[in-house]
Amino acid sequence: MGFFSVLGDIYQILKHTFRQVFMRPFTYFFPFEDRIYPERTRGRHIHVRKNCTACAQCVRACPVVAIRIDKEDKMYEKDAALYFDYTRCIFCGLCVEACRFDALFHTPVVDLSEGDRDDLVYGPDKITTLDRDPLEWRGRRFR
Amino acid sequence: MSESTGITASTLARQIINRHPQVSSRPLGTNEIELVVPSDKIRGVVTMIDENVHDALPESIFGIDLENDKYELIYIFWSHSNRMLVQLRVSLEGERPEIDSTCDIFPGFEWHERETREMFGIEFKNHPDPRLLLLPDELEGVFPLRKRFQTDQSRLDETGIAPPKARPKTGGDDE
Amino acid sequence: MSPDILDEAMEIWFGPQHVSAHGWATKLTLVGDYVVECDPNAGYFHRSAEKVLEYKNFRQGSLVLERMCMLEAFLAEYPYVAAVEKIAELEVPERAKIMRTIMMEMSRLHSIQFWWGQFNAELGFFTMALWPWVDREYSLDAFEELTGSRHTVSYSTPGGVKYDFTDKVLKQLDRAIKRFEDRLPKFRDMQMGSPTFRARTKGIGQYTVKQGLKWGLSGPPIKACGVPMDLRKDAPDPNLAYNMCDWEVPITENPDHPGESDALDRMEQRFKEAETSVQIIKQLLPQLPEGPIIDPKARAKANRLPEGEAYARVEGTRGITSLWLKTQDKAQTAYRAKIRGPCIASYYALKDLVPGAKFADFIVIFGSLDPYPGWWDR
Repeated sequence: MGFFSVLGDIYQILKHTFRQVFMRPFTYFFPFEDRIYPERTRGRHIHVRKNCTACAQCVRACPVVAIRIDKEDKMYEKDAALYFDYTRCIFCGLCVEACRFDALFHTPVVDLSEGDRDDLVYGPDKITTLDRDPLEWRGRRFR
Repeated sequence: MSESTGITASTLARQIINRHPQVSSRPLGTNEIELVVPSDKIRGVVTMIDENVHDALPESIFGIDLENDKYELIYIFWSHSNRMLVQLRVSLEGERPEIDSTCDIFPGFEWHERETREMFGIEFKNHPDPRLLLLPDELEGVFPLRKRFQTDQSRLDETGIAPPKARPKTGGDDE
Repeated sequence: MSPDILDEAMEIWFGPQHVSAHGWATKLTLVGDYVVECDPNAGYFHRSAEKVLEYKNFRQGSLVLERMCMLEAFLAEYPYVAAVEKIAELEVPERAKIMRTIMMEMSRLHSIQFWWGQFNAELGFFTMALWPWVDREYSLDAFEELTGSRHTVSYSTPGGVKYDFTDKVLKQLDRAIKRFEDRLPKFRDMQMGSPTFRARTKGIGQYTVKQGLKWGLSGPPIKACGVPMDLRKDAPDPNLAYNMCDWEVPITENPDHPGESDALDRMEQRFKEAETSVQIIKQLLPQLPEGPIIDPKARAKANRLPEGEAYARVEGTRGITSLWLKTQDKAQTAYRAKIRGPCIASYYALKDLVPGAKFADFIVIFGSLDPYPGWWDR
């Protein structure tokens, strides 16, 4: 009641304010800085062609038919080329689970946006590597 | 809430079979029972459930397409105070089978009946509001959940492996 | 009603472009400020999930279910998994049972936090909307750490669960629960003590138990009338761990109107639901045994199922969520799968509940029943 309770309220408010001012912001300066994604993040895939045996279990497991396999295209003895269609992929993780030869993994890369729809179909050249061309905008590079 | 004492699934089944001898029963589990009801007796049975089970919860109505113009309707009721599940099974036949609507007894069934009508083509007689529930107008009379309604499987050809065997077609006016 | 009153009647479409109406639209007929007729429309969110399920195999099917309601993804995907387990007669390891239950209760807590914020946003109390949503982020962090995804978790699978708890997940779960418990008493005072909020919700959308049951309502809208109708107690699932802990079904009984509930009671009820969830999680976390998280034979067994029918139900955040599954012999896909969402009843109930209310109260009635369009459109 009265003076002291008002003082208490003001103290509460100031405490809250000061704490917020010196806290690290919740947001990120996105294209230049990104949050650390957990290890299990189901982002885009990476295909290790050395281990692949062209068994096509990932293709059969996919519920949305986002994976296409080309068994003719061989880089090693018995591997195959995979085409991932990220316009369809729902990142459910069934293909990675189905792979028994450690040839397919999710990566914590989730910013997949492209300027062209066709670029979202990741062919064997893009799906086997995590490198990508850096984007430049007004002289600043990000990604 | 205190208007009646508990009733078990078998007691309810016996009461219903006494009134409607054409109904047969089959236990499903502990205090869960299935009643096979002829389609002309459905209103009588649902009314009896309403009268004898004071807290009957109308869970759902749905159809099953058994192909060759045979359909089944399942009605599911749950009673909390008796921990009792009652499942009614009605067999229907014909191109556009008909059954009496029960949504004046349990209003909660109104939308389930509307959905079954648009998805399976089962007519509910005396339904107060037989509009389409979920489908757009251009799909009226197509009945998408019937087995003869074929969906587009062309995506499977793109995978590069042999597609799984398609469901056998059983005539009908599929597109 | 005399015909000249209806001459002045005005029809208003509430949704689908209204900000609160995410995937639904209701036609309201107004006379003055009062709603005389309410016609809820469904179908704006229809994705033909039941037809899709006829083409998906038994490991893929739960993905469809969790997309019905992403706010309670752990709960939503469970009925399908349970139905497959019933038909295939799969054993679930003890550890997986407890992990499932913990994550389902976390999912319920998260869903209630989201609803709480959304309900306040719909009423116009936007400060009170954002605060629960901050706490919700902590639950989402735990989900992401555990499964790798914030909403579409794909966690349960026939025979067990997919991802094991790590120390970091347990720490995140503790943090989320602690955050919620710390802030709940203050928030609750702020919410229930607010005279504006009480005035807007008291006596709004009042119905009796009998009416609610006839519409098919279940879950919090019925428990708020004082009836402890809860599948977690009524029909305990052998593959879940609800009987391994000590808890009571939360109910709200208002002495002013026994056997009835209004929007305020339903708000109160959801606080209690969240508290019960926390209570269950806190009891189950220390009981977590060591062991496998999935039956090693489950993968092969769930490939092809014998002929059978199963009806699996779970007490979702919004009420009874169930799936009826029929398979043919050696089937790879379901013959028929029927999803029964709880919200089909609560959305249908608007038809009888809204007429007579003021236009401004419509969103209060709608929000307090917590319908989610994925559950009626499927």
